[in-house]
Amino acid sequence: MELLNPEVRELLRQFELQARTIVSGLRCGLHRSRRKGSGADFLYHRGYALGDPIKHLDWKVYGRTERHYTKVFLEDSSLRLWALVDYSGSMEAEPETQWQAERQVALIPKWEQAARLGLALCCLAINQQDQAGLVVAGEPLRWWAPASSSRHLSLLAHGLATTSRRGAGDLAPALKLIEERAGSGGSLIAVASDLSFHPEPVRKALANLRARGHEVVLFHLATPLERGLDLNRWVDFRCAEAPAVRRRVDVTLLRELYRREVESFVAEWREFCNRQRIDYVPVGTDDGLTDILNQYLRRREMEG
Amino acid sequence: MGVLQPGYLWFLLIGALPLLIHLLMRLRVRRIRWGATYLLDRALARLREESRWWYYLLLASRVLVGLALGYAFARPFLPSRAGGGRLEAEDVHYVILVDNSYSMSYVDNGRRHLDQALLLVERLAERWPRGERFSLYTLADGLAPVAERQRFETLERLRGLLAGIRIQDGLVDLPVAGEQVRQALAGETLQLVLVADRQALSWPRLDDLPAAAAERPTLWLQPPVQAGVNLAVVGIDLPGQVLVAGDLVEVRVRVRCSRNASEPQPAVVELEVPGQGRQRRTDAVLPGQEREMIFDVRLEQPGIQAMTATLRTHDGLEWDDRMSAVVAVRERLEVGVFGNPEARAFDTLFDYLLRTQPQRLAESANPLRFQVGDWNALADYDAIVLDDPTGLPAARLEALEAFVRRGGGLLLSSGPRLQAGEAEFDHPLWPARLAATPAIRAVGGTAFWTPQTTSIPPGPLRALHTGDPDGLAGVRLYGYWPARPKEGAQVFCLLDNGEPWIVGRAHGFGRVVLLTSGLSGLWNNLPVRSGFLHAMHRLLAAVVEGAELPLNVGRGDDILAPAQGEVAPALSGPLNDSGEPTVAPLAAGSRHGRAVRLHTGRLPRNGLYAVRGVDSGSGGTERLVAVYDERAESDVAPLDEARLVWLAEHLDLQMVDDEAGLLAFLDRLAGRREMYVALIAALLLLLFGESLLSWKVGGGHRRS
Repeated sequence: MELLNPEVRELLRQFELQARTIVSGLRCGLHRSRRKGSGADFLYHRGYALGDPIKHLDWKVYGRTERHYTKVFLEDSSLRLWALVDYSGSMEAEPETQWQAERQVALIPKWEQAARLGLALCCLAINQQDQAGLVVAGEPLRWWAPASSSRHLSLLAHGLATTSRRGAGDLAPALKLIEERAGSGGSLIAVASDLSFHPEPVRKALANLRARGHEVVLFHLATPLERGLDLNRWVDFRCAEAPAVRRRVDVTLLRELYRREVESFVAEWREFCNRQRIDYVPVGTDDGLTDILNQYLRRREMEG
Repeated sequence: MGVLQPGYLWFLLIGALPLLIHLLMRLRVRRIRWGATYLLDRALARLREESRWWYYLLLASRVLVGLALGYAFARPFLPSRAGGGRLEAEDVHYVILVDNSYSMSYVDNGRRHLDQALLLVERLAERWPRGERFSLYTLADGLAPVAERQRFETLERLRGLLAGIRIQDGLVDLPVAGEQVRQALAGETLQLVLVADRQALSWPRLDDLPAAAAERPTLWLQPPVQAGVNLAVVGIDLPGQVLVAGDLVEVRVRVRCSRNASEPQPAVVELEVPGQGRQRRTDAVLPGQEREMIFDVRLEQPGIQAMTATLRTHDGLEWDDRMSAVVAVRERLEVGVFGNPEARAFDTLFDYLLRTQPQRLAESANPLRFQVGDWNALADYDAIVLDDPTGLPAARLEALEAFVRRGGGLLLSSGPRLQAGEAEFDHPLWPARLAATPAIRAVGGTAFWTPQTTSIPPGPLRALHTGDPDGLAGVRLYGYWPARPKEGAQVFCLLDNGEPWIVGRAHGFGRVVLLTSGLSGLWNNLPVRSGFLHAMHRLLAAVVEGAELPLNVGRGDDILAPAQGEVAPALSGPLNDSGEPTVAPLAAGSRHGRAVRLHTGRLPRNGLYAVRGVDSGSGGTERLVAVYDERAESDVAPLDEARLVWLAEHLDLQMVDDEAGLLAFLDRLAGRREMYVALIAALLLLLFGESLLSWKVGGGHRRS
């Protein structure tokens, strides 16, 4: 299965993933870092010390003062991207085929949308010589450390394609793992999940990440059916994460309450993300990947 | 609550349909692998908190919709407490009782009540299934079958039967009629429908009806009782036989106040007499009581006259309650005087009065014409004055008896010529038994008897008398025959010693008045008193009072006249002022036993007619018939609300105001009203349930 088609790859060439926070990559890159070095951004002058590169001497200042000063620059660093893809059982839930047939639409499952999204971001990062890592939150939890080679991208794609979707959809362990591996600050963490779990542990983990200076982007995936419960009569809902859990209910009576709950749930997440300065991006499985990326990346560029 | 179509009660299972659908829908669920269970659980928790009972309310409303629909198709109806209105579709015998009494000839909205009643029967029959049994009875002349246990085939045939129903004289006896119907049709499931007016229901004996029976008739009232009307004209009473032009008569209009009035009701009654304008009387009538309002009316014109009493409110507004009385007024009474040939005082006195008081007599439009009696022309007289007879042959006594029995009036006096032991002395015709010897005092002496108390009824010329109200003051009696009134006799005047002087008694259709002291002046000074003439008029009016009133019939009604053998009765008239018929007698119609039916619809014009029939006793009878276009009668008694409630509870009374009301009532009989109510209830429940659903779940749903 090819997660990224040429059209998406072509689109990704048009964009640049610019970190909003101060990064601390191991290599030189496109993003600001706290390290002083050979960047383009002048920081200050300091007295020359033995061993300093002569090329950083400011000869104009020497001409005026006959003292040696060295120019100190902020070093541009590479970005480390952590893509966290929710591979719990809830992401496995296939779109209702009858529902699609009635509406003559073709939808992809949530996990596939999440995988494509995560891989696209990884692709974008690797394209600009940044490092991209991947965490697949499922059972078991799998992860790939950030790297910037194109081979690494293939590895990530293979990993996403071959990992099964099962288990409870709690992202907190995966976020904990990222927190441990990413250290303090400088990473961009993209989370793609349907958020179908109790939100508090995850929010706490996200808040921790933000507190450590990481930038977080949250892609909330949902199918149209899950957004509107556009069904009729009695439905036997079987939980995708735990098949033994079943809910038999008259949808005509539940529909409006459910929609209100969805709105409330999204509002809660949006409010949390605003407070934590996390990008909250709702994503539907009926949305095209190019459209999602196009809109999000353009908005990110405009907001700087 | 009952149902007309019990077989449709299985429709009640429709009520279980929503439950069944509910269960089926739960079984036929759509299985979906759901990825947003967390959100679903949150919504379900909210549903359990606040909306679950709405769902069961919706389910209950749907169940009720089904029940209401099922009940509607079963055609429910509400029977009364008396259990009437059993209308099972199977084996119903439709029985119609039509009130065809005179009160049904009341014209309302241009149609007689009888015509309206027959139309109601037609409208009812339109809803009968073909082949159903029905019986049709009339009530005026007892319970008379028009059709009995017949199968209903076509409406035209029923119309033919209805066309034969005529107005008849007689009383409607509902209890007896009801019992007769129940006995005649015992054991059958009856739907009895009585079409009657308020008069039939006002009859006091209706209160004697036993309480509810299952086959209690359904009563239709026509016309309706008007709300708020507490007064009604219940009678116009005329003093005896008012048939003489020039009579000043007291017309008494009786007004009754209903029992449910809370206070005395002011009643203003106007009596309208043709040629005399209107007179008005005002009185207050206590609740539940009657008041008489007396009008002095002079009947000027001979012929048929209709006087109408109209009830008005105190502010002049006219109520729709009036009564008309039709009277036949003759030009005068013919009086044959058989005086005492030995004492001409009686005739001389009349000559004197006619000479000395011609103006007063002319003003009075003297309704009496005295003439010397002729034993061979007794039939020409309305009254006979027979003064102090003696030695009457048996043939004359027999002729006199026949004259009185057929309706003539006899003013008889017993004077000094009468001898005890004579044939006429103790004749059955006489209203009193005379003593063997008279009481005598010296004529012209100081000892005499005087009239003490009188109760002579008011009569003609009363207004002429200005002095003594009785006209007998100053009369002195020097001799009289002590008399003992016979059974049924009425003493008009007593002497100061308590002995009767003037005694009257009915005999046959006529009346005899006896003066025990003669009229010739031999034993008294009566003829020379100023009030003598007035007294004579009043006594003659009293003797003709018992005569039968002319039968007032509407144009087109039938008259039953007695007949015997091949001799048929004849209807002659209209009579002229002399009582002679102006056209040839009308041939009799169909024979019914010992009577022949005469149909007045074939008469050339209205007027006073004479029916001469054959009677085995007297050899012939004559009765006057006043044929008039319109016979209007007020309802006899106002029906107050309390009585209506009583009737409704005991008789399954149904009120029908108009044709629309009738149709609605028929619908109710057919169970349609309740059916409509049930359908509307179902619709409302459906709307309620669906609006509840759309309000609760919001905007409905798009069906796939």
